[in-house]
Amino acid sequence: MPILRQKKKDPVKRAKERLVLLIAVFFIGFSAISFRLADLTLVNVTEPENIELSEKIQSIKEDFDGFRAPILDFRNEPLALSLPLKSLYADTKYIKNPKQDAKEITKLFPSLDEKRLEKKLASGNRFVWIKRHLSPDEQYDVNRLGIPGLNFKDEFKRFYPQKNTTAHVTGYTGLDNFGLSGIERSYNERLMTDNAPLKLTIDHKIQHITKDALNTAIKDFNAVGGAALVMDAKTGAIRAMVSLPDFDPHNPGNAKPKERFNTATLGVFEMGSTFKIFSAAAALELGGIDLDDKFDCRKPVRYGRFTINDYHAEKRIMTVPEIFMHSSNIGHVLMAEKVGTDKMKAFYKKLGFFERPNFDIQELGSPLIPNPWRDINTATSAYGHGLAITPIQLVSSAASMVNGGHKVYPHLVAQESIYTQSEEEVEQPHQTDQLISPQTSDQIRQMLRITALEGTGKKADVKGYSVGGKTGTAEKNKSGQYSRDSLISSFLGVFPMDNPQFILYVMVDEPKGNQSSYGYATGGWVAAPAVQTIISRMTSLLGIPPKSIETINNFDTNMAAYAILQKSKPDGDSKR
Amino acid sequence: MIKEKKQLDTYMKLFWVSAIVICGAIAFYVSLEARHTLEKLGRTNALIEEEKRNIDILKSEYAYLSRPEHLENLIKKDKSNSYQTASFDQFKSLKDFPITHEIEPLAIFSETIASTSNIESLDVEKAEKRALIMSNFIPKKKPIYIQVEPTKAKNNVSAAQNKPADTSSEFLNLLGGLTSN
Repeated sequence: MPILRQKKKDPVKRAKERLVLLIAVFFIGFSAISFRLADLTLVNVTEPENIELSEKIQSIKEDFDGFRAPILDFRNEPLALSLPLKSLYADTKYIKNPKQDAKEITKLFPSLDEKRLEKKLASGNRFVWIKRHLSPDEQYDVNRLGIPGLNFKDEFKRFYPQKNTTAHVTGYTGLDNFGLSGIERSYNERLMTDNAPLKLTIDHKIQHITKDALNTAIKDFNAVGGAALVMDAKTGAIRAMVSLPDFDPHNPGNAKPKERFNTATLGVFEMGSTFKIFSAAAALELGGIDLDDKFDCRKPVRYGRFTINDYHAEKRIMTVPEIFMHSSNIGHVLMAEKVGTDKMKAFYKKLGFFERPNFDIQELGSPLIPNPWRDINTATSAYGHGLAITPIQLVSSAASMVNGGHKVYPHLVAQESIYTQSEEEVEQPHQTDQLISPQTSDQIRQMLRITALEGTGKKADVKGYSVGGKTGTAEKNKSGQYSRDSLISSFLGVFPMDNPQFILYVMVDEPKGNQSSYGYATGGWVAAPAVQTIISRMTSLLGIPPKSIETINNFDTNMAAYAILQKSKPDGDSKR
Repeated sequence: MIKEKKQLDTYMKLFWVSAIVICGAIAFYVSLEARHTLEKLGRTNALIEEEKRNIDILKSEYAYLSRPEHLENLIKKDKSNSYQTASFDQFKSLKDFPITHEIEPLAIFSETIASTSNIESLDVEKAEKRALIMSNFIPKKKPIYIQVEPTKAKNNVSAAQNKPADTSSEFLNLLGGLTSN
């Protein structure tokens, strides 16, 4: 007990101690408040605009779902970008006079229906869309109305700086920024989840040149449309892909189905004489035929009730290069006969003509193959009829014929990330298969060159650039009948022929002959000049110097030995 | 004794109270600093995002205004006719021009050849390209493409290398030989 008594403190003292403790607590509390006060008012003053900015960015981040990675061209120029725009919505709880407000809003946006808007504003909903993707001026005008309950939401809208020019490549997105066609569609997930730009192989300048040349051809020959492609002959990288008519990707809803149709990848056509590149390659590769072998092209070839004639009839015995440069249907049929149906069919299959190609965009046409395949089909396919393929298939397979025989895979996407790979790595050809021997490829190149020099493709040649090519004029099959008035006129060009870098294809749909072409609407008159324009403009753009005439002639004389000298020789041991 | 002990107790208490106050203040300060730094980081990130958006807008504006179609339309409207589409025939060989200008860019070309120790390994194409770039310094309207035949170049270089090192005249002679064919 005495101990307990001893421990009992004096109440006054205890009160003093408590008071000290209380003072200490208050001191700590006030010190903290003072410290924070000084920090906020004197040391770190947060500027109001920064707070506003933070809130703004926060709102952008909240809407990050709508953001899509940019699409760049080969020159790193943007082809598609997501730009932040304001969208107008209403919290109708605060709308006091829906009728009056609807009237005022529709004055600003005449495309809106006043009655419908009034109904929306009177609905009592806390969130009602009024107009998406406003321009800054429109936003200003809405603010000037001073209607309570009208608010803005940050959203992204896809912008295509090149407008129509790259519309069929990039494609377009819907209102909710979901890819609906082209690269936007096929790379939708990539563009929505990875912010790194997606680089394409397209060069927007070559794209423009190509579109310009094709457009001129279409206008000059009063055609209904057309397609054009420029491809790297070694890698399969597409430098330009044009389909006309085209559309504005900002307003795809206003485009007609014909304008949204990508002829270069979706269009399936009987290619006509451009297809002879493949039948000639098959003959040289598989048919045991040499360049100096001769075929009797004086008489038409008959298959039952069908007769195969020449368009540019020479009516003589010709060597293989002559058949090729004069685009003799008869000669190619005879060569295909010698190869045989099975081998020809297997060759076309190897080239990928029997299946839908793999490509970076999903708008792809499936080839039309005769079923069952008879001998007549082997004959007609030798000059590009009876078997229908897409322009992209034609160009990529033709590239394989001239690049030394390596199969190329057409592609539009240069790489997955522009930060991880160097330009050199990008330009490496994809893994390739050998389709024909380098020797056959060399022979095809020389025949293409001689066609541009002496044959049907003269109008495509550009002095100093050793252009080679093949014309194509196919009659369109309309309701089961081939129509002489509805042609597909095309030209497939390659340059430089000693070491092909680019392969070009221009196809014009239903051209009408004009005065300058003496009424002709064939590939040589319609499409070859367009190829010439593209080559002459793109060489200066890319800084490709012309080669000396001497070098070109050395190359050409090899072929001339077969193609021109044979003319003077008497008709001898022809194959038929 | 007891009084001294009590005094010591009081000091100890004061010490602990002060220590707690100081520690609390430090902890509070550190926490404030961390929060403030986070806010600053957030603001900086926000600014970066904002700038990115602005850059994207500028990029798209620039791409839109500089699209070839638009530029061509502007050129068509220009009555002075001072712009023309570049053409492949603007590449010319020096053979087509009498050399009456400052030879400086050509010296670059000859210098490249002269500095090559092993003439067999000379990359004429590279030397040409280099000279082509340098030829922009020549006050001419069109760029010049220098066409040189490798065999001729090698022969001339071999001959030039045997001569004394009077570089300026040597280069001129050398280039005369290279470009006169």
